[in-house]
Amino acid sequence: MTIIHEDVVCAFCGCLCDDLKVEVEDNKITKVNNACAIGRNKLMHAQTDCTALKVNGREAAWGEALAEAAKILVKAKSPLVYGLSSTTSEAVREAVALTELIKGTVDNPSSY
Amino acid sequence: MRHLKRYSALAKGLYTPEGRKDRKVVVIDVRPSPTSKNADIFLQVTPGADFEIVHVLRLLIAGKRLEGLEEESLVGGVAFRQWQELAELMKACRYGVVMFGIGLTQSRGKDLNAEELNSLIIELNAFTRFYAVAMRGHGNVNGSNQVLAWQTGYPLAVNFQRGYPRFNPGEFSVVDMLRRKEADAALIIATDPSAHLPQSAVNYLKSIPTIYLEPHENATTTWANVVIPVAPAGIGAGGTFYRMDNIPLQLKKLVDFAVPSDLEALQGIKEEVLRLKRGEAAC
Repeated sequence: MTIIHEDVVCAFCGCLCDDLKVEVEDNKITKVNNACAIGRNKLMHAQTDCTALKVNGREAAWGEALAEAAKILVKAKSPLVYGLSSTTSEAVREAVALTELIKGTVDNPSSY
Repeated sequence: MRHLKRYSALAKGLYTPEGRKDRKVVVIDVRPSPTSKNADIFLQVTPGADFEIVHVLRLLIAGKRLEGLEEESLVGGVAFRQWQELAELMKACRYGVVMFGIGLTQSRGKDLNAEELNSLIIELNAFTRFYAVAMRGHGNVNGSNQVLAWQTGYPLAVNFQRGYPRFNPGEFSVVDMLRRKEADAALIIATDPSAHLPQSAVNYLKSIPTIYLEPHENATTTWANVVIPVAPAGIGAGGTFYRMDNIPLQLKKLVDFAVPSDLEALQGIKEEVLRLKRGEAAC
């Protein structure tokens, strides 16, 4: 089944062009219209080369990864939370709350 | 890449129905570029002279006499006469916008350059309507500044060590913290530090426990201690992004991913941290 998404916002750069047309066939992006070369590439390759859940180099379960992440952050004296440039504002809010909880530092790429 | 077409040089507006024909485009850069080739005026400046140039423009706008500068004297590698012409052009336009990028903000002078530019824009508003817009790189880099400012009062480089937010770029900024080896663990979300940070910062990051939230295989997923795959925002997860002119836009989920969103992963980590902290308190 083909679904055509109209007025899609491209998440690649700060221009956030909001006039893309994206065709999805059986949960797979098959065609992107109106985007620039970079935006099209990003959407067309979004579903390939996905990374796996790993703890210290070996595949792990979701719960184990969360527990290990929390252990690292709670143990640290000066944890750094960094990035947040290609994620949603809702996720950024959660990251700020987490940073406050672990008494860390939060920064994004606009500082360099 | 569609900036010129959608927002700047070619965009058609209420008072610019002809688009490019109704508009003057001035490019100031250290080298010619595809953008400068399409400009009405291209001023090729010497690197590191940004503050001096903006300061001279401010003085010209204010109508001050600049002693010792002749028409052909060079300011930032460009004849003073050309800066005089630019100042007149800026004062005379109906609606001007300065789009500035990291060439201004990350070269010698850094935030002082941006501050000087802001002063110029404020002073220009005595004559006409003028704005400055920062050219933002990644999709929601503006949004993370917005949310940080909303939650803590500061847009970046915020430290919570004392229990309340403190702001100090240079001290709490990522590159400086890593180069001085001041972080002892890291949580990286939706960026590839191995591809963007200086090598010395990456080398130190590799030596501390690092948790990484990222959809795709890249140079950082090969060494991070904990790699948590997430659905890419705007493709596998919906949410709000801020455009570079501070307009929030809702992004839709286009396809399903078998993995959670950044938000869900961060909520999961926060729950675990709270559980550990409660355990500590109970002991």
